[in-house]
Amino acid sequence: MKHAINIKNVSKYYGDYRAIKDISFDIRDNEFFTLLGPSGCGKTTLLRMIAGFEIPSGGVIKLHGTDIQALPAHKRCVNTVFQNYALFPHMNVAQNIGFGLEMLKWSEENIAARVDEMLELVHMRPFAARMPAALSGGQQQRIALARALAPKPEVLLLDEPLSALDLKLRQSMRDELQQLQRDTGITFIFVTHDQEEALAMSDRICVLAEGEVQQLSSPNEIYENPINKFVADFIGETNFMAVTIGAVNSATAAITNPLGIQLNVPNAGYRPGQEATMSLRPEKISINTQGLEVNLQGEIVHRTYMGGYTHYKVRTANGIELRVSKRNTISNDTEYQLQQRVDIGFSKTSVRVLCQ
Amino acid sequence: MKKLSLNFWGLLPAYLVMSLLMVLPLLIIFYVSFMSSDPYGGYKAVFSLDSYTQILYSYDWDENLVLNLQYLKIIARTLLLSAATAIICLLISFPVAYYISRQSHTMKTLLLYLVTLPFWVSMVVRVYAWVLILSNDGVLENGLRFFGLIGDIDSLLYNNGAMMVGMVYTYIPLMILPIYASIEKLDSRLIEAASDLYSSRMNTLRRIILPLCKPGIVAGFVLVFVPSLGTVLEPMLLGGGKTMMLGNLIQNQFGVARNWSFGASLTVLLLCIVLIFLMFQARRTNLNKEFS
Ligand SMILES: Nc1ncnc2c1ncn2[C@@H]1O[C@H](COP(=O)(O)OP(=O)(O)OP(=O)(O)O)[C@@H](O)[C@H]1O
Ligand SMILES: [Mg+2]
Repeated sequence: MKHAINIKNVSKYYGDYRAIKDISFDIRDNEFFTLLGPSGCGKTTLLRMIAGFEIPSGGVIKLHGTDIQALPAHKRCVNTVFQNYALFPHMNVAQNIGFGLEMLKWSEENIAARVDEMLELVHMRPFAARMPAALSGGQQQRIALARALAPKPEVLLLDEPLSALDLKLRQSMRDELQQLQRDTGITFIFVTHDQEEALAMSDRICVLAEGEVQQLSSPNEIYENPINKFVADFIGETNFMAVTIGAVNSATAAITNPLGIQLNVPNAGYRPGQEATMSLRPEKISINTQGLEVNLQGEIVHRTYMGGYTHYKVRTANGIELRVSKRNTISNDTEYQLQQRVDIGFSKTSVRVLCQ
Repeated sequence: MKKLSLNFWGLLPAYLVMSLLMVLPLLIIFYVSFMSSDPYGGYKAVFSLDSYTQILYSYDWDENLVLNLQYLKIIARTLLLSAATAIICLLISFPVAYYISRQSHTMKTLLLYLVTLPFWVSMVVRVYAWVLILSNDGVLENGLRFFGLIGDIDSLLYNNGAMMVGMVYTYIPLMILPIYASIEKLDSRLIEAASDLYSSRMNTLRRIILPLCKPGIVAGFVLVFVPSLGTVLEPMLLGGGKTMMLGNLIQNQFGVARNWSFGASLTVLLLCIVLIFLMFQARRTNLNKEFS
């Protein structure tokens, strides 16, 4: 598969501070790629290095196989949608969208046609003559998008473009962005610290923490098979329990756990006596359901009603509190009361053992 | 009602100071300009438009009015030199202000302090410093000669060039500061956005930075151009009194020539030029506001 971007051993220092620590990964052509991580982990820094606003302290960045190290920002075929949009306040919407094309010396009629096409794409045709100051946040967002897409970049960089919008608008823009990516076939590199956004939109997600790649996989992989404690914790909710590796043979490893259950997982190179963390997602635990591999007794100690879901905290016989989330469906809308004694159960395959 | 009177009484001292120090002298000047001149100095309290006709005409031996371009030349020179001063100030100030805005916080404070430093020294002293620098056998001439950059030349002093140097030097902080303020306000992400959209540095300067710094540039231009129109010291000391500007002419009329009413009419003329310029400027800024 052809790669839109290759990042090889890239690092970035700000003075003594190492914002990016020797990162390597590839971004495929035409994919919706997300950089996800907590604030300050280096997402913007990485994006700015791709755009050319920041020079890597070491390593190589390639765009479609060509090293772009020597190219200044204005010669790179990538465009950015800035977090605060950065629309030119002294130009109207059409002039903003046409700016890049003008700089690329497109002919006037071609610019006009392309601007029109872009306005259509983001449903903003009636606003062509407006000044940016007279647009709402969501409208500015669309214009920023149109402006960045107009010159047909090889890669589009988006730095938390939705973070300034309210929840409803954010959700509808999610769908629009995804659709736009499919329609244009341009590689999107999307930066966010919102895990839900990342899961909803991406083909692949790269989870960053403290300037290092934690995991790079499909949303499903990241959620279901987090590689370490950080990823399991950052994406979605989970129950963590400290465990110890018990007897190990070539195929399986026994896990000594505070729930006091017999648990064998496939051996992934564990050593006996090794400390580890066990992760179990709240929605993998069900209440009062028959026929599950592992069954425990417990008592409801906390309940949060969320509409579509109810989150419970269940205290097991040996005093462990487990978060359990129950979907409120037509067939199962039982509400459990505080102090109610319940059976909880889960499948052994839902358990993840994380070593780091 | 009560509030209004409080406002009134509170502002009264300011009104008084303003009318005493600003409005009253202007009224007096206005009044004197319509009086006739007194051959023994000062003015005579007799209404006359002579002092205004004198700007363009003079009497020949036969007491006939003939066109006299002498004063008009001075007015034109004043306008030209002031405009040139403002333009040169602008050309220097923009890069300087831009450079300062890119420095660290402490450097910025230091550099801005240095820019404003000359204001703390008396203007006469500062202009005399330039006399010393430019004079025959002065620092600059000797320096240039030492490096073989000039041979035998006329004096660097006492010409329009020397005057301009002095004026630019005097007024340049008034240009640097507003431009600096407008550059500081400029969102650096807009510059990044421009270069992201394939704009070279030159284009970014032309299409993004300059238009967005226009308010600062306009303010600086006004702040330099308007006081330049009334310059007195530089033509006197650096121009050697050979070339006059409007300020010198006015000073002469009130001083040596003792023709107060002519001096007053020239002052009114200068005021009118300034007012017209400011009105024009205000209208343009208003138009800009409506536009954006
Ligand atoms: N110009 C700079 N000088 C010094 N340190 C910087 C600079 N820019 C970023 N940093 C540091 O580098 C680290 C990564 O910053 P970056 O902006 O990439 O974070 P981020 O992941 O985008 O965070 P956020 O989600 O808050 O935007 C941070 O710790 C930040 O303090
Ligand atoms: Mg960021």
